[in-house]
Amino acid sequence: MTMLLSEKNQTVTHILCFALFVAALPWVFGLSRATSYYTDVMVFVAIHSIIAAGLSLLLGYAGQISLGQAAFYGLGAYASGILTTRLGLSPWLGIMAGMVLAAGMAYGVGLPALRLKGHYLAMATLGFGMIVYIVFNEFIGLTGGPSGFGEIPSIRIFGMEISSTLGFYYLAWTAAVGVLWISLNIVHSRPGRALRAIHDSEKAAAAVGIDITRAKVQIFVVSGVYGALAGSLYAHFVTFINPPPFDIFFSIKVLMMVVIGGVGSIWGAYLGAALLTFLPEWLAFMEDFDVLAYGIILLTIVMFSPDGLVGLGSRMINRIRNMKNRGY
Amino acid sequence: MTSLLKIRHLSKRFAGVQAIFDLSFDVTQGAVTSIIGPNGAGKTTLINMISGVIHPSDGDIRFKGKSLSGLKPHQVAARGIARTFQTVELFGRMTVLENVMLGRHLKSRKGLISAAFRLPGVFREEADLKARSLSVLETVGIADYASLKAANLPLGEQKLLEVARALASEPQLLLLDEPAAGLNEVETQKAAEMIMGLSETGVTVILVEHDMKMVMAISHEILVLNYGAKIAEGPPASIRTDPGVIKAYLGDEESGS
Repeated sequence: MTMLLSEKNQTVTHILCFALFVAALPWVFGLSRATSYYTDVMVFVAIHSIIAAGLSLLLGYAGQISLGQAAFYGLGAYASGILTTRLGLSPWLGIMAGMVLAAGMAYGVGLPALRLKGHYLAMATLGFGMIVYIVFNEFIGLTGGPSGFGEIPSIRIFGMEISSTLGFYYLAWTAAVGVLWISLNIVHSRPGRALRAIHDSEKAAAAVGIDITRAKVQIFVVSGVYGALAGSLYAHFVTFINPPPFDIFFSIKVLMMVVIGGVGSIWGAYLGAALLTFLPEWLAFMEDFDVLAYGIILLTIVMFSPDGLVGLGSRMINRIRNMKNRGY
Repeated sequence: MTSLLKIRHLSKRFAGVQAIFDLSFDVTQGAVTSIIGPNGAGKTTLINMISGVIHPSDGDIRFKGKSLSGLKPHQVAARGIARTFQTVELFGRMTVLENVMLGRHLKSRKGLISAAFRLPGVFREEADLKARSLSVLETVGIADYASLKAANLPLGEQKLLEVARALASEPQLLLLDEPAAGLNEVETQKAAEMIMGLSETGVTVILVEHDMKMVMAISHEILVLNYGAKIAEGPPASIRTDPGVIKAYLGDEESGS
């Protein structure tokens, strides 16, 4: 029992340290540069981390691939955007509506696809993503079509408008740390254990009474809700939305964040989100060759560390420990 | 003596192969019932049908008076039937303790929402689950390995862990598919003693096993299958001398082996 409690406390300590680090970061940036450019990129890291955490739960713990996370991202963004601009609802209601809509859609797509063994979810979500993208483009009356729409209001907390980048930075990271806490709680619990069991042996999981379809659908719904939350934050931060950020390529990018960060680790999703968000910014100076460099860097990571950045990190720590033990 | 499990006119065809043919038998509550027969006699098919992994082509399986027909494996487990597998099916990347905790999946209740937000009771249930699972490991005698990865256990202990996981659910009926396969003589002896001990605590056991010494020693009732059909049924003493059984095992001109 003591082992159990210390394990949980360790998780909480890690999350608190991470939260403090993130809270201090804008001030570190502020000391070296006058611009809020890095703070701005870090808002996107928070948003991408939330959507990647959902896919990490699905891929790393239920062993299922989704190629349609961008659709949930888009559903959240458009639900927030449309409800606040057309109906004048509070952004909070828009966020909620987006999450409920995504949950319903995930259930509808996931239930038939996850009943079958194999990677039917990947195909179903690929189709779902394309349909949703077409809807964003073609339902011009509602979505503004390819040119999108703007003037999405900022979020207010206790009457305070969160319109500055720094304000939104804290809002987005509060959400991202909350999602991290929830995800780690899920992983270290009865339902999380059931998911890992399914990943190891579906036969044995069913024999101990785990409803495999139900467990997989549940976690897919969670991933959809995370996606919608990320999308709503995007809409209120950028205040303008059009379809391109919600296309299939973004779904693949989210998948890469999870794989590069390390499948089977929620922290990995956050690392992967950070790397894949910063990398294009760092490589921008290469102009036309940036895509090439981007590809080479990602390929190198996958080739030399199939378990991603988290695997690479833990191997390095082990090596240093071993060296110390040997007395070097 | 009441029968816990009643099987009536059960048949299973796989694409032209008759795996089980018009099989009827009863399993007495609290007894050890062994199912024996040559390879391909349909023993594992029978276990898979009882546990809901495959569905019968015909006939009915009733557990405590209620039909199991159409139930999925997790629903059969919820009725109080646990099983082990012929080829070990553990959660290999998880610890020995976690494997047993998963065995108690149905005995714990906390779902996704309470786990996600750590609602009250989550810690208590986890601690309780851990304590009870450890005590099951002690019963089976592998508590020392609790924090090891299941895949890293020696085969004998893996087999025991499968039994521990099944026992953790406190089943009324336990289906053991060749628990002694791959075990040495000492380990087999230990397994036999454990199964006898289980039956004394009131668990009904269906045992599929090739080790005749073990089967004869611990069974109350033996069912002999050959080519999917019942050829004999009775206590060990009568099975030993049954001419039909001897013929099936030693072979004759027609069956060759």
